[in-house]
Amino acid sequence: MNREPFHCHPSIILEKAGGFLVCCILILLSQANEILPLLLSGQLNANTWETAVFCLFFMFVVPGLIGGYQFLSWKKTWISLEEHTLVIERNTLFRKKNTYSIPHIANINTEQNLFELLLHTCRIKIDLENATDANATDISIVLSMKKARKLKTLLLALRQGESPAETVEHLSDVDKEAESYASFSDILTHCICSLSGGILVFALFVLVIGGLLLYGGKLSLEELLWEDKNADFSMKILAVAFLVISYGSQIIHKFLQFYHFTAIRKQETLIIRYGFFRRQDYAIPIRNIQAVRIIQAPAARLLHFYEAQMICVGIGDSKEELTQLSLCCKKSVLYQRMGVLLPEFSTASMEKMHKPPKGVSKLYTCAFLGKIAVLLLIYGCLLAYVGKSASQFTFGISSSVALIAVSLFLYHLLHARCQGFHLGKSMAVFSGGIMTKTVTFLPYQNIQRLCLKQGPLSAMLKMQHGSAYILASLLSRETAVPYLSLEEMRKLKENMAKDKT
Amino acid sequence: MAYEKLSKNALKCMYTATGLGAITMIAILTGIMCHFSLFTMPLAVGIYLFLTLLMSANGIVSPPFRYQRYRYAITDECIEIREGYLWVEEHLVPINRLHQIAISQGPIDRIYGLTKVVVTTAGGEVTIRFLETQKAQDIADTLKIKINQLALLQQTGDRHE
Repeated sequence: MNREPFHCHPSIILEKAGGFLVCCILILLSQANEILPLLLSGQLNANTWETAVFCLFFMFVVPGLIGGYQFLSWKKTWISLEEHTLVIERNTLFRKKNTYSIPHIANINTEQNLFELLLHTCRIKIDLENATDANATDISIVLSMKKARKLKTLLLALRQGESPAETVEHLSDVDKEAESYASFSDILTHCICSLSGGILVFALFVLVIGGLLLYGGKLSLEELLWEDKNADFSMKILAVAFLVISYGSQIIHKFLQFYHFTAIRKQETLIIRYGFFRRQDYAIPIRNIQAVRIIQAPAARLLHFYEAQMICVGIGDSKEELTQLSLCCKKSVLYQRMGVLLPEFSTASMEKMHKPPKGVSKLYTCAFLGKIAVLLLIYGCLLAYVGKSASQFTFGISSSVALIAVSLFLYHLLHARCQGFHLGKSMAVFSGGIMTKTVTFLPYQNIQRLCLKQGPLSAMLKMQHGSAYILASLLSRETAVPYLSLEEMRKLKENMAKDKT
Repeated sequence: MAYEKLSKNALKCMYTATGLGAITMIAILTGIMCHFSLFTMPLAVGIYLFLTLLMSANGIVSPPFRYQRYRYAITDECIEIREGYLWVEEHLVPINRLHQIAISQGPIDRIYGLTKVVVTTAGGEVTIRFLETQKAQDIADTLKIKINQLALLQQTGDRHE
């Protein structure tokens, strides 16, 4: 790629104006009963001129203005590479010239949605190494596939201080290795095992509702299988089918997201590719990975499967940007994969994790009893307010309170069981969660600040808990530090303050 | 680690801020009660009185406790702040993670001649509150010197690499 200034691909005009055009069409459709007779008759009179103006405005004026503005924005936006900087200049209503330092680029990722896949274009997403914009992609450029590949290669070469030819060689090596995608069964196993607790509860809900719909009435198994079906039965089947399909769609959506999943390490860069309708291609420098998370969703906990994700600036800004390092697999396979991909994080140190100090069980018991006391107080107030005569309300309130009490008990029990820690030489390992267990590997050098908390009871038991903050998007910035004894907390603080690497 | 405590003006500032907060909350609560004519309902009046008493008690009791608990320390390696009332919070920021130092003063702070020092890292910000203005300026200057020294050391290290 020569260094002449260039534009984005023209398809960006349609992509940006598309939303507004759809809005115009919807507005026109909402007035279809007035517009259609006018168009069919073609006669203008005192009663119809207002509809005609409305029609013209949303058919030609608004789309014309929006399309024209987007065209001008595209035409007057120039992208160029100058020395070690990427310059984006806009000369539209507001003039703007942004100059980005290429050596400070954190990630260069490419993404293709369905529209871009059809047009054979691709979006280059660039994130810079800064904290203020860690929640959003800094630069987004739409180019044809050929131009996008060339720009990515050139940017990678300039960032790493090597010649574009060397970078092309490295990337072609990756392409050869990347042909070994995750298999169909691997992805399917991952999709089922990584379903969140909420989705599993939803599955239970589907089963209960489906069961009630089919068997709750007068319908017996014989009737369900053999007897004549009436309209009421068809409605019930339709409702159950809708619930099952909406549940199945979650698995299919996950499957398509992870289609052709590949994670490869090439020297100091991690290459991650995946996606069917939205193809993503990430090139992440190892030094930008702030932490690693080993996750076990409820189903994975039962089947002893583990998956790995990373926390890194520039990835995870949106729902579609997955931070996956490894799909669900057995522990030994995970250690082997992580040993190849990220030996720096020594995930096998998960085996060295300790349970929190003994007093923690007392803390959880007290917290549970405290909440139960508040719940009983509210229950008493409600009963006094409703009165004894309304027995149907009393039953409802009592069963709800019992359900909340059981949920609280399970919450505290599961929360306490997930807690664990290990303070290694170069990193701290913390585990937590409720239904989904998460083990976080945090190098001391990446912890930006600590916030520790101590209530009256934990002060008596000489313990503290809190949060460790790292450079990441808002959702992944905070990692919970479980209850530790004051001695262990002192060790954590010392390790963090002394690590100046 | 030698912790530093706050001046007497900090306690006055805490009383003023907590008192004003309590008065505002009680006024809002009273407004809601009047607007929805809740003063006729015994349960609502009970809750209103309980909350009003709680906020008033908090306005009187919490400042001395918070004043006694509040302490901070700045060493060569880190900044440590302890604050809280019933639940104590401890913030720890290593000096070499600092990105930005800011000084700010709100209207209540200005009445008592107090200032806040806000230190920002890549993982968020931490505030040292209720400092006398001159003290805050000194802290900001000291931290600025430390950051510059660390940056110089880092640059020298990078050049050697």
